Amino acid sequence: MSLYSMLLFLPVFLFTPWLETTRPAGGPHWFHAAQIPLEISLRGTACIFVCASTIAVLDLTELNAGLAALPIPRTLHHLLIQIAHQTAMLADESQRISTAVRIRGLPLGRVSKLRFLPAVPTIWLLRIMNRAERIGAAMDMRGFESTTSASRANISPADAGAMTTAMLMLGASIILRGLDVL
Amino acid sequence: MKSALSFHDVSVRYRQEDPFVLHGISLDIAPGERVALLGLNGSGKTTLLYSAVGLVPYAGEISVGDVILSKTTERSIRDHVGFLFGIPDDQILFPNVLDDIAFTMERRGIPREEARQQALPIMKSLGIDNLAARSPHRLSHGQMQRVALAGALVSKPPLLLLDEPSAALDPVGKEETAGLLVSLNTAMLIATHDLAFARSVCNRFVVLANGTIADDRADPEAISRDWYQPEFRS
Repeated sequence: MSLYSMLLFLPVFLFTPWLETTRPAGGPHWFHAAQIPLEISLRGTACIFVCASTIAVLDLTELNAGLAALPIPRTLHHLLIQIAHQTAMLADESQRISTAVRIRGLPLGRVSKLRFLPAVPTIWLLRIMNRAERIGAAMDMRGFESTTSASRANISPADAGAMTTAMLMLGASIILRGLDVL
Repeated sequence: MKSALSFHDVSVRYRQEDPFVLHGISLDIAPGERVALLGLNGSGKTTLLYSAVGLVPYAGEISVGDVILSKTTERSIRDHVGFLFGIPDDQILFPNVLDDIAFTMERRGIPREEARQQALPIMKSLGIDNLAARSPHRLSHGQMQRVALAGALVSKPPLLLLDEPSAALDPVGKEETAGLLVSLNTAMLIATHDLAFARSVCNRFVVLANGTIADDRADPEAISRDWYQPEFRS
């Protein structure tokens, strides 16, 4: 796992010093001016695409298992899982509200509809807030904020080596970048 | 003998300007005693359970075993209490059943794999061992109820606070759960509307009406049906 994650992030660390952040002023044509924003948006879209694809193929259980296998503190693992898990829960709650609206129907008449529709976000927000409050109480009760350090996953020598190498490479690339600027 | 749970002149209101939801509640639960908390909707059953672990602001004194509930003791008290919320969905915090139940042990310092092993017997007792790898939120309400109950029971706490434990369970599930609860040597306070379930589990019956204790006796048949009249609805 450590080796794979290092291989995955290696190109990013290696290319960091050579990433161009500034370019010479554009030529006379509009596409010269559009080149930089276009590049930024393409890269941004590519990142979003990669993230969305990862999320789409990853089951929450798999994400949980993957995070549990990583040598990160259990608290961080639980926090990341909670963010994903509770987001899914709130999405489920929204889905239930939308189903209820579909089943019960909207009020008849345009004026009634117009009066009703602005109330939907309020109802949604209240239900989401109530739900979040109840989950918060349950998390308090179950001791979510104080997971003990004894339950942390052990860091193997290979993991420690990979993390140290990654940190060193990140440090080296920042230094190289600084030298380039100077 | 020291009480497993004790309320002394406890009053609860959620905000300063609101009326009291509970007022002047005094109740002692002995170790091993199984108490049913009965009453109409809105009579304060859930609030009383919440107050026992400091989830709502209260006045008066609450103690669990030898420990008086306060901000500093709250955490250790909660670690000695198994709590089942009225909506089981809310207390399930992990994306698969086994991890959720094992979390109760994990946060007590038990390594993950060992915690998972310790979760298996209670899952078997509640008939959910076949659901270990399933996502809790794709289960039926009754199955979710058992998962949440397993999470509350796995650490073998000396005190159980259960809010509607039989809700959504099928008749077989109710029987199994009742049998399991009776077999535990644990004090418990069970808020329920299910009188048949309460009779099969509990040996003491407390009725709340309008935020006070209206009746408290060992014989469920002697509980006056008057307490179940609409005028006692808060």
